[in-house]
Amino acid sequence: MRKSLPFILAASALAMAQSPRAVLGWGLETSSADGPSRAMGEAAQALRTDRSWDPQLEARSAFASLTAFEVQVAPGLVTIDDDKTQNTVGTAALPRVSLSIPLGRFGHLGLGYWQRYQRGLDWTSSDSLVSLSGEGGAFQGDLGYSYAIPWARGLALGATYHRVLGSDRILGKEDFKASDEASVLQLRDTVQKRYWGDYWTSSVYFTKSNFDVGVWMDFAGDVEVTTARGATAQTFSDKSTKSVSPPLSLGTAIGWRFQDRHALVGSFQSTSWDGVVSGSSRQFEGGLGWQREGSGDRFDEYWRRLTFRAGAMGGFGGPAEVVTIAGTSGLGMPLGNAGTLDLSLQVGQNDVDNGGPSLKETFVRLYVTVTGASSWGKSFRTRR
Amino acid sequence: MLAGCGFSDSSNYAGGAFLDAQGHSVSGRAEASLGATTRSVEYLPPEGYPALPGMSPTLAIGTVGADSVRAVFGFDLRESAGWGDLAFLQRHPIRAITFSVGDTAWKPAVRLRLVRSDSATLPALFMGIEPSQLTQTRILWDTVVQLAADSVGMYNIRIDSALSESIRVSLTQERGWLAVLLDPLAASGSYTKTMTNIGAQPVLDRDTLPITLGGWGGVLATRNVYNRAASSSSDAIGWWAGTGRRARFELDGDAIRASLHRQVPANDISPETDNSYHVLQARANLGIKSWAASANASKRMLLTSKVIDREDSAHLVLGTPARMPSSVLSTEESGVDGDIEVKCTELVPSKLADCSVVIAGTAQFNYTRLASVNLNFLAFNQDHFWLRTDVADQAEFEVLNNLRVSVRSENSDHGGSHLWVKWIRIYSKHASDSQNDSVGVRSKATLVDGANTIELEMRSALTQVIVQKKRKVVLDLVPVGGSAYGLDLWTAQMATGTKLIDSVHVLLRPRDGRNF
Repeated sequence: MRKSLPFILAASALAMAQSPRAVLGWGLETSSADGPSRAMGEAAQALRTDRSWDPQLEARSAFASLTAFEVQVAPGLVTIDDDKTQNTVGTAALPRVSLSIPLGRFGHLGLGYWQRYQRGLDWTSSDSLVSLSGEGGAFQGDLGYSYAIPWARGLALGATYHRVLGSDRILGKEDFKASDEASVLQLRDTVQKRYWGDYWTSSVYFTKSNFDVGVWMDFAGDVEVTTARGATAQTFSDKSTKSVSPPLSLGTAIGWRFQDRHALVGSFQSTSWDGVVSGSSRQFEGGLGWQREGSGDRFDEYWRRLTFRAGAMGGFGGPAEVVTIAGTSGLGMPLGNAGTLDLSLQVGQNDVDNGGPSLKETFVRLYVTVTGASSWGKSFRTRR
Repeated sequence: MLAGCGFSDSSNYAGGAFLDAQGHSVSGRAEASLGATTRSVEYLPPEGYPALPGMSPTLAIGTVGADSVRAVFGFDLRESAGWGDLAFLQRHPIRAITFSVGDTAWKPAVRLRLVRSDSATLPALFMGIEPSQLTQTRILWDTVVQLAADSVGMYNIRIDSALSESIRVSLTQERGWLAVLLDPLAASGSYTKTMTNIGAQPVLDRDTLPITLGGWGGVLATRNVYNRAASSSSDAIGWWAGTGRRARFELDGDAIRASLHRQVPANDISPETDNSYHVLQARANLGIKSWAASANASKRMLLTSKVIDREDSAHLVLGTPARMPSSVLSTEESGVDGDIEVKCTELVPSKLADCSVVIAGTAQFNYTRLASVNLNFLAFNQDHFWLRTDVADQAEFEVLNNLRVSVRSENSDHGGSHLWVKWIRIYSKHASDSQNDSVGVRSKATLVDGANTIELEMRSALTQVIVQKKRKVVLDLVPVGGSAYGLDLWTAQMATGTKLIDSVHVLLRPRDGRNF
């Protein structure tokens, strides 16, 4: 695994998720779910864990006792169908990298990279003369801090600062060769966007006995979107900069652990796209999931130490009124003393439902998550 | 759901209608025919400094149609090195002018003039000013001789004994220069070779050692002068020795845009630019009234264009530097630490000025027209140039990548009072589109026997005419010769001198939906 990881990362950097939907807004959005949550309908934000960090529900990590580092990659396939043409293309993404650091009685610090948006697009006209491609995307550098309230057992508060940055580009290209000319004329159109800004998320988390619940809310921020246009032999005005607030979410998640190793999770989130994509309605997303945790005894047989997960998720609204429905399943495999490899499979469909031309994406994504955890900075807090 | 769908990493064709609905439509290709109304046409020398004497690797001589290429030789009679002292010269008078040419079959009738000149006036002879208009020159001999090579391939023009004696006698009082002007007369008769190059250095033969060509600032005192026939039209372009002529014109962008939008509707929302189209192909038809060329000359043309950002003109007073105004290019924009100036001083009163571009007090080297026509911008440089002030003359050249200067003399007898300098800030430059097919130059893009039109690809230039609503776009119809510069000469008179382009057939694709 150690040897193959650089290859997976490199492959992710080379190929991005592909869908014509990527022209909308800031591109295709990827949630911040951690590896295990990907297999539980992306609904396990509230499920208490030592091995992960969620940039939205930072408060959960106030009770973490292990320093954890997580890298997630997601190769996949997507079939794009517009009722007339159907193509299946490969996709890849590096959705997140995170570091969770317990600070003992001083709380918890979380650091993360979240490739939230991707302008992954590849389209060629039916006569093969013109093509559109997209690349890059806005991502977030996240810094979170949480603190377990000493006088309120099981209650923690958290806040996350999101630095939004990155750039994306849509490139239109046409090659033209006249029958009586030796050279090929290449015409290009480019729109490049750069993102720079920030916003905050606050979160509250409560855990008691086998029950966990968390709530998070984004506060309006300010992101400058600078647009530069270019095209072969054309002249455009200088770059234009618009200041907008990023999409703002309000969400909640719960987790219930039962029968020692089992857990049920659920989450619900609403996101406002006002100002980001004009005319977009509010987006609603939710998920449900189940997990059977493997044995923690390293001397048990390996299959007993595996963690099994399943779930479902869906959503509607947002840019182009996309309806999403997907089933998820996954496996958590221990790697040595402190590491885990989580494989999370998502099979689902995105269906544009805005009354316009049909566009349906059927996707299969495999989230491969490697997590390393150790007892550095082990928490002194044991209250619940 | 994925059953039956083979994995493909090739292009995705699905989603076109969705993209169209989101404003990312791709319009189909369209064709249009444009009248290409012309706002202005002027005929100018090629780019660069006029070359000083001795720079050309080839000293050409001959005729092109009714025009001719003059060869000027200068023999320095002040200088004794190489031919002995004055007394020796007086004992051995000049008997003949001897030279050789590249082709011994060349046997034209030539007008020969021997001219005595002082050093100050000699540049005027090199620049084509007639000796009769110069007070400091004296025409010793003005005759027409029928040239023919001798048995060893040399051309000898015998000087009669009376003239030889006259020169010998006058040497005591009149040292100076002896200039030889050779003007071939229009070719006629049995021979077709109209252009040739002078090979071995011309000499003045004496009884003993010949007098060789004088040195002029470290180079040979030789230069070509192109003489247009009196009957020649000014509506002509051409490629000829040491210079040439291009046509500069401005198309009516408003009319072209209006015509284009009528034929191929597309969005046009910006008041500054019209980015509505990608021009895939634009073939311009130019009518040619007549043309003449030396044998085997490659008779091609290119269409280049420049988008002008700003320009400023000012009178140029002889002896007084003209400084580039900061409104054209500020110090921060130019990156030049110091003033950029053009300075012209009088070289031959009311006839010739010596000019240079001075940056921060230092005269700058710049390429000459020889560099442009030889496509060698390293070898043909000089730090000053001569400009005629007795007739209309012009030199245009680059000073910086985005700054051009045009120094123009108007047709006047008042010399410096009618010199102008124009500072031109370039927004963008666009080289000519390729006129080649897989074999070479497209046959329609070169002048051939029997053809009265030429078809040039001009997509880059036309694109700028369409795109630039507020900026001026100037187009240059530039003649191109062959590799054997000096001999590949041609001229072409345009059929419609004030319109230049008859029509343009355009293949384009509207950029609707490319605004993303």
